[in-house]
Amino acid sequence: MSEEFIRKVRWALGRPLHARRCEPNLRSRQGAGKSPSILERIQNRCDGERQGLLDKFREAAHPLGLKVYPHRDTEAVAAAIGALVRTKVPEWGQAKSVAAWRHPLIESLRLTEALAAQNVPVYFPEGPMGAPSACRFAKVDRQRWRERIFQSYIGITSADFGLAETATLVLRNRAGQARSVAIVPAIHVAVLEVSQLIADLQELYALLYSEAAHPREAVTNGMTLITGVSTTRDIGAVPVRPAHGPREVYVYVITGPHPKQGPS
Amino acid sequence: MVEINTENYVAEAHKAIANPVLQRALADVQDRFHKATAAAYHTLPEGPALRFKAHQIRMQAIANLDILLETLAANVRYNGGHVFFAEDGKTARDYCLAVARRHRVKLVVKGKSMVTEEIGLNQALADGWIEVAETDLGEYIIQLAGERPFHIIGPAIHKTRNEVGQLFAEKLGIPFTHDPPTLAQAARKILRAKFLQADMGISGCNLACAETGHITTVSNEGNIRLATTLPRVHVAFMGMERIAARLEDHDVLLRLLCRGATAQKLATYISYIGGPRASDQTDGPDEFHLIILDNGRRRILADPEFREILGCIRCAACLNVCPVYGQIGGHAYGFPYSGPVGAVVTPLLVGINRAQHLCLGETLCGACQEACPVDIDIPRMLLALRAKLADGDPLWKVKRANPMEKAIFQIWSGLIRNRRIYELSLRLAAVGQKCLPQRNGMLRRLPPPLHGWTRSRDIKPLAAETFIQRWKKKRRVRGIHP
Ligand code: SF4
Repeated sequence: MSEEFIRKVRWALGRPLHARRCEPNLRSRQGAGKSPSILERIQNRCDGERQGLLDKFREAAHPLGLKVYPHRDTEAVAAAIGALVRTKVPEWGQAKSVAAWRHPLIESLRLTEALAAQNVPVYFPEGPMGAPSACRFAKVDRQRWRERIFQSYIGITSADFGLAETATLVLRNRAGQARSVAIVPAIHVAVLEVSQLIADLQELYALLYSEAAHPREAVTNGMTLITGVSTTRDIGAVPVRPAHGPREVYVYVITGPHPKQGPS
Repeated sequence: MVEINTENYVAEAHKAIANPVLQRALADVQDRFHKATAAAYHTLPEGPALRFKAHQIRMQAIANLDILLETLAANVRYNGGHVFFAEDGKTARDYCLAVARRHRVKLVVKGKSMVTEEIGLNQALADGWIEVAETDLGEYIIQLAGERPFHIIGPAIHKTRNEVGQLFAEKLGIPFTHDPPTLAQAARKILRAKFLQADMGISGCNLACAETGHITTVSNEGNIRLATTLPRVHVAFMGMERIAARLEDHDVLLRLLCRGATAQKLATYISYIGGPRASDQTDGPDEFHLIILDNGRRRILADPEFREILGCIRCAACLNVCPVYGQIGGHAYGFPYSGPVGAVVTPLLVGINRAQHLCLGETLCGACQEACPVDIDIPRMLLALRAKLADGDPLWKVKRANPMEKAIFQIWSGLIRNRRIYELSLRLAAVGQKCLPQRNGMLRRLPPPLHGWTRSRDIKPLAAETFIQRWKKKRRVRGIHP
């Protein structure tokens, strides 16, 4: 079926049907030569430049309704999340609960302890981290997770990268990093380190390629770019936030204790 | 099957022009997006000329479509997804229905997708006793109203907030309000329950990438992310031309798409989807199906004159600047694709004769090409379609639209090539026009078949002397002899 389809497309393109086709060298044009220099640029960024990216990120975030706060360390972030949980009320129902990624940075926030005083449970996707073969999800686990994620009013994730130009969060699908955490709860909190900020899509794509052994592993089964807060203009062309996604998005950037000023 | 009403173009256009509410909504949309899009191109680091590069990228992808589609399919399959190539709408609908039946699907949540509109998927699912919930707010509104999209990216922009309020009160049983946030919240609540219950999510595809093997969906509302994350099965539909070779091309096109569509640097949510949930991932669909649709595109691909339209990324920027769309709106086009892009694509998909009014109705002003993020030469293709209608074309099975017109032009051509007959007929006409009604030195009505010309304007009568007669006379007076 698919061969027949492709054969017809080839015919429509006016190509000889049975001629030997050379494998497409998709990498050969423009981009290929540029990537190493992009990667070097990313790797050699000094603290001053990183701070510049953070400023840019905050500037771009402002009109989008995205709230970006720099914090010195994980403790400060945990305290900020504690305050958020205290002040915000759930959109649906009464009980407060929080869902979070199983991710080294998020686990270092020790949220379960931080929120215990307020009696707010923190749900993590089940299964041990980093051992894919050991954690095939049974249907019941997944059903339980669904219920929990629908109950949770705050979802806490990290992000692979932040794109400064557009104030975009980049989230990739991985074990323990359930994608529902960033879309189902009414409030999304993303925690990342300042070193995860990069300039734009071009840098992102260069990094994705450099990490992957084969281009088809660059995106794998999923990646999401989030730029701002869920919005619609579909009723009388009036902008309304939110539509279906989170109504608020907070980005906590960990800047480290002493942000040094690098050479300009 | 999708309904095709392209024959009613003229009547529907008149209706839209006579509707003041619609006219205001259209003016508002065009006013808002026209300048904003142009300004958004200027915020590109590479400048607005990036559009030309994007054009090249698109054309190169189209020229290598066979290789790109093969690569995409292989990579999606590598990541555990299923790929189905559908020759036409029916094959695509049947495949989707079969998947739904296999999974005993009762409720489908759907993201906005023009391709599924093109093949009439919703009706097919409904006929199979499967409930379909459109989840893009605009699509949800028109689904409740039982209408078709009015605009490629803002399907319900023709509805005022009062109309939406009344619709929601009537169909959802909520108290009437015309407050957009309250209405949006009502839809949010209802659709949230649907997202939780649904067994299947259906999305379109804004742009696939061959090398990485993923599709991309773009939205501002977040509905597509929910629809592709929560249900057990995800079925994505893509027109076979919506593909880029590499991520670098993807970068350029996505940035331009978001600017062209809504004057944003990037849309709120862009999801890259390459397959189903991996076994160690908590959520995401268990099965991912990608349906790649031909449905008449191959014929366009085979014709170098029209191949360019396959470069279109359906951003709707051309609708927002088109003076014709700005008056008649989207429904007159009688098919899901409206505006300048619809005027080219629809005739090519449903039949040039059948949709002739669409390409005859446009003004050839060129605004669409200037606004297009991938610089598609729509006016050229409109002219090419008109040429086919004038002369007929067996390849596209086009019959001469108006044999009378051809005959008249042939007579005219004979007439103006014969000096004596031409002058004689001028003289006859000069005498004849004296019997026609006149006012302020203008003719008010011409006799048939020319009467259409004077339906809304007067015309100057033929001068008493022709130019050549005057010229000769003047030279004689000045004493110059030929
Ligand atoms: S023709 Fe150009 S402007 Fe119109 S929808 Fe397609 S890409 Fe957008």
